[in-house]
Amino acid sequence: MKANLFILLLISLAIHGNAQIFHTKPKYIQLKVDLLDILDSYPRIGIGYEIKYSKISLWQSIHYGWDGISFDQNSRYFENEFTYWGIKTGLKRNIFDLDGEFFIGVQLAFDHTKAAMSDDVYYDLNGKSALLYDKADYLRDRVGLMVENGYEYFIGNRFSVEIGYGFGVRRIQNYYKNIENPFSLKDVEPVEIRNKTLYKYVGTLWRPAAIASIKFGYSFSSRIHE
Amino acid sequence: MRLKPRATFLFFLTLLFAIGIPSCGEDYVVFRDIKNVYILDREAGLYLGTPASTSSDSIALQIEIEFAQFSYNHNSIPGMMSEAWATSPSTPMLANEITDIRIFCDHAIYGIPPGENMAAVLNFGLDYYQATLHDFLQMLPRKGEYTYGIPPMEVYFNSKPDPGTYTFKVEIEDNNRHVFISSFPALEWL
Repeated sequence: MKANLFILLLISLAIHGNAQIFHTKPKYIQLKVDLLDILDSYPRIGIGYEIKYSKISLWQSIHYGWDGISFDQNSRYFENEFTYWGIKTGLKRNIFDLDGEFFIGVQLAFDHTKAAMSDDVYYDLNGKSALLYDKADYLRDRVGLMVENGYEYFIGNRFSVEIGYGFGVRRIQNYYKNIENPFSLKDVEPVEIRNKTLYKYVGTLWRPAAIASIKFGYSFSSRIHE
Repeated sequence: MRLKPRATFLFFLTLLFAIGIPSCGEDYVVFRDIKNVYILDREAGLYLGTPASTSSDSIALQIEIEFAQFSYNHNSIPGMMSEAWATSPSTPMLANEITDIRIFCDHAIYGIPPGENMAAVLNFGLDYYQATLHDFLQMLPRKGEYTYGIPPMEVYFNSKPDPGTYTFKVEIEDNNRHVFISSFPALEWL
């Protein structure tokens, strides 16, 4: 009995799956809004587009954040103002399912952050020194290469919700400008490089990174043939 | 030997506290500036204001150093008791050290012309003993040592100079060539 039910389920899946593939347009474009990063240390919102072909997708998005959209009033990453902008691009391999599609892919990301800091310190990893300051502008450039996977759940013919996660590596370059009342200390190195306070380390860092995203999608045209 | 449940509980509780909970504290401490220079009448045991007036034979300048700690190491698990238990933060490491102390006066004193460094003819100490500048500098904590700072340093004037008003300036230099300059305490010797 159980075996029969299982076979029936497989047939049902095959029919619906084929139906989905059969009816989906070979190419359509989605608008996507990424909202999960609003919970990040430097909160931001992403908006982009995705061109979907039958099996693969190409996507791009731009991301912008500022202190005004932060929920965390006690963030250890910034005390005053900050701005963040970034761009991401990626390629996905889509595997259709009954209600949506699984995907695996790669993404390349670049972002730039500028944050006003006060009464803190940074370590120059190359010069092996530390510098205390009253005020300074912290600047960060990051390039990341990630592999990701996830699932995009379709709601009707136009809307979708995509949940994804991934891992990769980031090259982080930290530097400071407009330093007020600097107090330099030679031959002082960080006791350890702590992930929670990466802004304190001036120089280039390579770090493993994890990403997650929740994207809301809208298709400009019906994604399946009427 | 069979351990009783209560003893076992107390044993593991003791072990937990003995091992310790990740605490929070600062990595480094630095000499950052001169916070204050007070004039101390050592005969009367009184702090004098500035400008001060005294006939005492034994005067000291008491130098209070401003320290700064940095790189807060916050090791805690949100929602746990680690912060409450973190009663013993690690002692910070000194990131600089004092290499010279210079004392200047606007009048000739002890045979030193006005405006020249007179540290060589004075004694220095931390309340309970006196030493030459060289020996005193050797006694101060060095870069890399673990400390929270030092008590106020004292510069001793062990004999009364000619009557008059003397204005002092204190300069302290660290190993990074930062020079900390004090305010200018004035003393009228009667």
